[in-house]
Amino acid sequence: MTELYHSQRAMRAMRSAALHRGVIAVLDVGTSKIGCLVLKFDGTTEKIDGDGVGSLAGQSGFQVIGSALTKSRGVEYGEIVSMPETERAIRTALQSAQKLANSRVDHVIACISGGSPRSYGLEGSIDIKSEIVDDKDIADVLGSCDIPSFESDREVLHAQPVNFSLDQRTGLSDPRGQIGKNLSVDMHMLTIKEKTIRDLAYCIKRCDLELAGVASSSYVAALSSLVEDEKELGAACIDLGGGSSNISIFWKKHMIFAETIKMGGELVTRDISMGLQVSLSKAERIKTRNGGVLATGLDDREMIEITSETNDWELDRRIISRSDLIGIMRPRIEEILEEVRCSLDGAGFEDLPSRKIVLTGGASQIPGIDSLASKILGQQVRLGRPMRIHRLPQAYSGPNCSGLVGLSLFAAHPQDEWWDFSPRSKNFNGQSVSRVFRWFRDNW
Amino acid sequence: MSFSKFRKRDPAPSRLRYKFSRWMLSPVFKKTLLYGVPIILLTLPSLVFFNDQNNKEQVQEIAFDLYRKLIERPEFMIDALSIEGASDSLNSEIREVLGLRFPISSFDLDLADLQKRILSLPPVEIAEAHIKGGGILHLKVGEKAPALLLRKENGFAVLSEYGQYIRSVPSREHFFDLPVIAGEGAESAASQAMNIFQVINKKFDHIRGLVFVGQRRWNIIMKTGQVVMLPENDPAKAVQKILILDQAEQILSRDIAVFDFRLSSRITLRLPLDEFFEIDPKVVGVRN
Repeated sequence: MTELYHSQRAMRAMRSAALHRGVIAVLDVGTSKIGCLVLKFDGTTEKIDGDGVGSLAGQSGFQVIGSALTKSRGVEYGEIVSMPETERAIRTALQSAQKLANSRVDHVIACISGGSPRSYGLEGSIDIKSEIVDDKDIADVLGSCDIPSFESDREVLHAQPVNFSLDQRTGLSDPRGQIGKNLSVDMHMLTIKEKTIRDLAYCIKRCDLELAGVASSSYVAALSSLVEDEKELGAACIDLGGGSSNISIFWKKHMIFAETIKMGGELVTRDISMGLQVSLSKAERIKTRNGGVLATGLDDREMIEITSETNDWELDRRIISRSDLIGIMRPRIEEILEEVRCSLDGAGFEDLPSRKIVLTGGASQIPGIDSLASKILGQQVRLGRPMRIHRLPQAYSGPNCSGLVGLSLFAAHPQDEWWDFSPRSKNFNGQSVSRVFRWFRDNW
Repeated sequence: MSFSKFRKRDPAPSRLRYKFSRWMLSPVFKKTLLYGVPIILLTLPSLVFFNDQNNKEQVQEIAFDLYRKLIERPEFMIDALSIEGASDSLNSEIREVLGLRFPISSFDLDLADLQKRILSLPPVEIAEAHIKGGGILHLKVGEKAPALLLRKENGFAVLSEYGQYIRSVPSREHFFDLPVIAGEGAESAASQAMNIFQVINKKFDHIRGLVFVGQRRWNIIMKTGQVVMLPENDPAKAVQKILILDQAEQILSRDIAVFDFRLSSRITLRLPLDEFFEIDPKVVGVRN
């Protein structure tokens, strides 16, 4: 636990060093693609107005100077299964992004979708010695949270204070400077398998880069596709990726739940490949060009030619209708969405005041998925696209890059986490400091 | 049958290539490679070449030859020397002093040095040297005007009105119209002597000259052997007084040996002595 605390703090220090240098890369290692953006921080800070949100919602102050998107290798269900392959893919992405940026990058912030994340709600409470709450009280109350027991092969990825209560008042986002007696905190903690994070860190290290931060991809996808009101009132962001679907629930501007379902768009491709007996790449192409989930009468007449090179006339020249394709795709999509529904129910999503659902990620580009999702998940479903950030290429503004854009936002404005507050030292109180001081004064 | 050679190459960069691309993106490394390596490649052979003394000398020789060839082009050559404002004797003297052998390249001439050398000649007051078109070195010389003759043990020295030495002459032959001065340190008080001569202004023609006495004051020596002793301060005024006295009473034409004007308030006359060192009785009784 303390080891992680130190490593997270080290990553924070690295991030601030990178911001000082002005150039940092964000890397999204996904199952189907690896995306990399090189960000340049020009030092301008956004003016924050009264309600804590700037005019650009945290997207100013940096710009994208290099970008690369390449096919992922050696990753399955968001987890690295072949280290050398993944390392090569990361190298490819980083080299082309660096070339475009014409600048060398040494620090990288990455996100992890695999590793079966698990959410915990933590509570802590202390009595305040001095009446006014200060930084040390916050650190104390964060330290007073009782850590739930989790397996030893898990690591804490996020530990974010969600809500502070001071005496009877609750819903405080920043209690510092307020007067009270009893301070309590609700914290959201996310753990993932240690192996996943180690593997990724090793791959990045093999590419001569320093890891300056890690984030859960469910979290960063929501950062870029949810708008402020949705974050405030309660919303779920569902990032339908290639290998896994990441769910995160936001309420009162904080993530309160995150989970990953190991089902994604690649399953659909595999179904099409098996159902139509074509290669995976061909199936991917058919899916993206003609895919859909809602069949209409027109789709019976829209014919898709399927070509292959088996030298068998019957197999090489086939024509199917789009309805057939939809018939293959729809059950799998329904299964994924039902799985999402199941997960949301388990998280208590129906208790939130607003039950907005935002679909993003590559698989959310399937036509008609929003109306299918509204049948399964609830009425308030919309398709989310990432926010605009400065100089983001047009090709990266689609929903498949929401994780990448969210990671840039995370790099620019990370949320305060548990390890951002230094805990009060137990054995080094004021008295001993004065004793040391006196010893120096007497002896020198 | 092998399709392996048709297989697509791995699109990922190799580790080495990746590292190299990152090096090339770091500014220091890139600059070293782009400027440092060519500079080293260019300088190293020449350093090795010049390390050998023979090569060095050879190159120096070639460079010197080229230089000589350039400066000895006819455009830069000077064939003649023209001197303006100098008498014939000075002209030949200057030519001798400069000792130039024509034709000479203008690059080999140091005009400032020439000027200095000409000015070191005593009769020259001002000198200017410049190169005129058509290969002529033109010297403009101003001679000092002879104003006084200083009597020396053998012969005379011609001085300018400020006492500057111009030349020595054995006799007064060429300068018979110049006033004569004598005495030790007389040249340093030459301008005072000039003043005195100006006041006298040839009003009495029987002056032999001035003698500087004790390095402080002047005596006027007449052709008759009479001596007029002038004061140390403002001798010209004293001379004026004497002239007035002479006009009124013709004192200078009287038979008096020494007119002592050293104290202007008390003029003293000394009578001539005869061969027995007694006052000549012929003179006694003169009104004084």
